[in-house]
Amino acid sequence: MSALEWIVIVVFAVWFVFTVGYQFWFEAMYPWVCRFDWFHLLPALNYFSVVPRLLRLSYRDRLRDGAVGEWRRLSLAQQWSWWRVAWNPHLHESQLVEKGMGPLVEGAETQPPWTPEYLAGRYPHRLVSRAVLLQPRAEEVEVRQFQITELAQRGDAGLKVVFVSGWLRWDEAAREGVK
Amino acid sequence: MNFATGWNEAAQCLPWVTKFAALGALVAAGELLWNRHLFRDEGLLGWPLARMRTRLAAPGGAITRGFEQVLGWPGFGWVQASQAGAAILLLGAPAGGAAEIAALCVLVLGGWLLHLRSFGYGHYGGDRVRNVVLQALLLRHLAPGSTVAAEACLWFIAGTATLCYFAAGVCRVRLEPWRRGDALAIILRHEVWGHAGCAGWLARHRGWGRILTWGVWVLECAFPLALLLGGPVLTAVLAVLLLMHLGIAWVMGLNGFVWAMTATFPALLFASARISGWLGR
Repeated sequence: MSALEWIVIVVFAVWFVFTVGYQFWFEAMYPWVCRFDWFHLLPALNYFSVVPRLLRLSYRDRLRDGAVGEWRRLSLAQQWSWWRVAWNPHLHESQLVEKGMGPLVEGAETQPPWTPEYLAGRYPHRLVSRAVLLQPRAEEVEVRQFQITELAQRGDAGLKVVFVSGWLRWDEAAREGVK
Repeated sequence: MNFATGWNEAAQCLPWVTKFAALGALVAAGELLWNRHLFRDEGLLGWPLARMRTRLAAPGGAITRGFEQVLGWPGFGWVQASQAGAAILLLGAPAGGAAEIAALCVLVLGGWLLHLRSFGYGHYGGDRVRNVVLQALLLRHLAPGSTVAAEACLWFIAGTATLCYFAAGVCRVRLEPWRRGDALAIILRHEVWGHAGCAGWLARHRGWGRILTWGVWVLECAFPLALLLGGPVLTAVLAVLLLMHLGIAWVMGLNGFVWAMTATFPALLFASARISGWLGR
């Protein structure tokens, strides 16, 4: 075998060993992988093992006269079509917002919970805020707020509020390109 | 190629892996181009926001500015267009040629850029498996024309796919909803990945819900055994897994896995054929 063939075999072998390790010692390796795996060579392959929480996103507006509106659902449901077995562009946006909601809910449950200042600098918060701020608004709307509610996985318990944002302003979001 | 016996040869299997991975890359690039509004500055994956996550945004410096041209808008739209072009090239390119290597380089680089751009956001399970397959296909070209490298590549892809099923199965067994048998019923109530009709059906037929939930992790945990048994057993298991991925895509909308996992099937058939040969079957 040539030297190049040896190199290829060794790289594949090392890569596979690390991939195996990452699946079964995920917690221990995760910080290390986050820091050094720039090219995403080590994927976590245990998809949907942890059953996702049943989260719902809603928002409400405060008008310039101080009146506060009702909570409105921002539906993340995908558009359904027969084609989606092979082609499903509608998943991306919903999945992206859903992925942002998870860390916010977990952060709200930590002790002590995240402060508004801390949240403002966090990507998931900015992402979900942006999704909410991009929804159409009436001219008299001054600020907007979102909340995340959770449906119990079992039983008939109703929606429980698990995260409430502060009031969001369009002029702050405009600095990051939101019109 | 003889469908029943031809899987023993790396040269016969690799083109199938490559073409399926190329199809997956084409679909993924097409879907991102369809969603190009997300990558505009005001979009959810717009660069002004994504740079909070990126690994490439150290302030100042020519390299950073260069990356900003590529990762911002419209630069990143062109990256996606180049991915679609490279996937089409890979579909049509002859095996092992310069066109194949060039297309793989563009696809791997594009996958890296998307990952580095918004670390963890904007690409998901199926994309990750497909990227591993594409990276492996490119790595084997380090020893051009080598049968040993081609076989190592197929073994690696087969090992990763086996691990994908087995690790997922083992993780599920450890978790209460999967053991209890109501995990699928819960997932199908999810707003993004759920399906009201199927969730309603499972709520009315709890027994079927349990059978399907247990069936998923039993199948995944037993997959390495199917690889060892090979022959009709493996073919039947792969057929069931293909149906499972199609069902997941249809019900949950996760079509990325259909393309990504199908691309690994020829490597699994190769590995199984070799194992059968060693065992004298």
